[in-house]
Amino acid sequence: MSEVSATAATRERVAAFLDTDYVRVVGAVALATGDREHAEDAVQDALVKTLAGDTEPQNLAGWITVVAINYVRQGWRREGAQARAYVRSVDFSANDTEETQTVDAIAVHDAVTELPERQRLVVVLHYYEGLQVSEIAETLGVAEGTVKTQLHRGREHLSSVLRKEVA
Amino acid sequence: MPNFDDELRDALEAWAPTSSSASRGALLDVLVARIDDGGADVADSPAPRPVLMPVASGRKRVGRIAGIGLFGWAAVAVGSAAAATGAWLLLDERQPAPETPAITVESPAPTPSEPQATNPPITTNAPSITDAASKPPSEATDPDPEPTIDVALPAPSDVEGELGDKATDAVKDTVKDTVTVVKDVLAPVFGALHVEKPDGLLSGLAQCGTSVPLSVSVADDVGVTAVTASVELPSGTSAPVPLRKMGDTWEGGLATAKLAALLSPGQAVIVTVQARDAAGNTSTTTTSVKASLLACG
Repeated sequence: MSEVSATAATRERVAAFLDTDYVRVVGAVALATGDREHAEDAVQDALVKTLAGDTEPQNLAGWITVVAINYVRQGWRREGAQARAYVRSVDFSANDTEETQTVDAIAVHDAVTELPERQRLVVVLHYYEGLQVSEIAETLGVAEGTVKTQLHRGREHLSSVLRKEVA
Repeated sequence: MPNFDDELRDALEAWAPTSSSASRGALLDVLVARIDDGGADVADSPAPRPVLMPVASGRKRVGRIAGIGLFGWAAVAVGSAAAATGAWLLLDERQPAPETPAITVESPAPTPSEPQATNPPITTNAPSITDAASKPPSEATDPDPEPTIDVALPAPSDVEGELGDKATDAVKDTVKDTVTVVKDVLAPVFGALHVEKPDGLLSGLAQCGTSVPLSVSVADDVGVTAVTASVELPSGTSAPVPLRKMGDTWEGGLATAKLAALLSPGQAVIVTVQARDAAGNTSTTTTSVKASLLACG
């Protein structure tokens, strides 16, 4: 009976994540890694890995984002090791049509992808995922000052690049 | 007028992908099933590690210098400066701690141009980056950051390669087959052995210096390879008789001069002929001839 309840609770938790955070987390992982192909797979793996554990992090979306990014970054080692057929429910094609994108949005996206990895991660978590500095620091297990430093550098870099773009 | 942060946020928001509701149910079922299974299928994946490194400052930077050196030497021992950087990070007090005292820290994620095999993992009792990334931060406080390091060999992994033409396996394959060989077991067969008796020989009238003709016919199912003949005198002495092949017949002659030197009138000599085929089968036939020489020379 308790097992059934646990499954029901898990299903409810997963459904809530899919409805509120899933698409954004997949987008964040794709944006941070530049790997659209494996972003959704990695998010699913990270979600399974996290919720299969005994405890759940306070900021599940941020946590899943970071874990999934690490999966993608190391994903080339998994090639061939897992032949699972993932269920895909996220569509990136809308990003590829220039009609739906403003010039600024395209320029920002390109500038973010050119950021150093550490800065790009913090920028994505903050500006795209909407995480606060303290949440990012807690999720990454680093000091807030570290997050602030990387965020400041990333912002400065984006600012300078986008000014060049506008000019 | 929006500030830069808002513009940045809006621009990234516009980049967000869309969701397909059609596959949501299937995705939910798959994820729940995998979670109920304990996430075992994810265990094969490489454990994640943080991509953001802490920045040391102030007194803590000084306090970590010893750690940098110690771990740095360990990294030099394993030939990986990248591993040293990762190990140094483990001394950070703010790093989450694992539940177990000894955990495995993997070297930084390799890139396609930086093969993993060059960075063997380091085992340490310091907090694990790997563990910190896969466990909630609340569990991550290292009670004993004493930096003892044990270098472990890389775990066995799959190896791909090509085998050359000279490659052999450990199993010796044996093929058995039966070949039927028909062995020649039939000895040559003598048709007839003739020792002609010229006029006077048996009556003791053989002329000195003449020879007594000898001929023998031999047959074999495969083929006769050699025919030899000899004459044995009453004294026990024997002498070969040269033969030459004339078709299926071998011919030679008994030298009367030699006989005359050894024979007395009325004594007999024994002529023996032996035939051999290719298989080594032999046949022998003999005949006795009386000869006498009244005069020679």
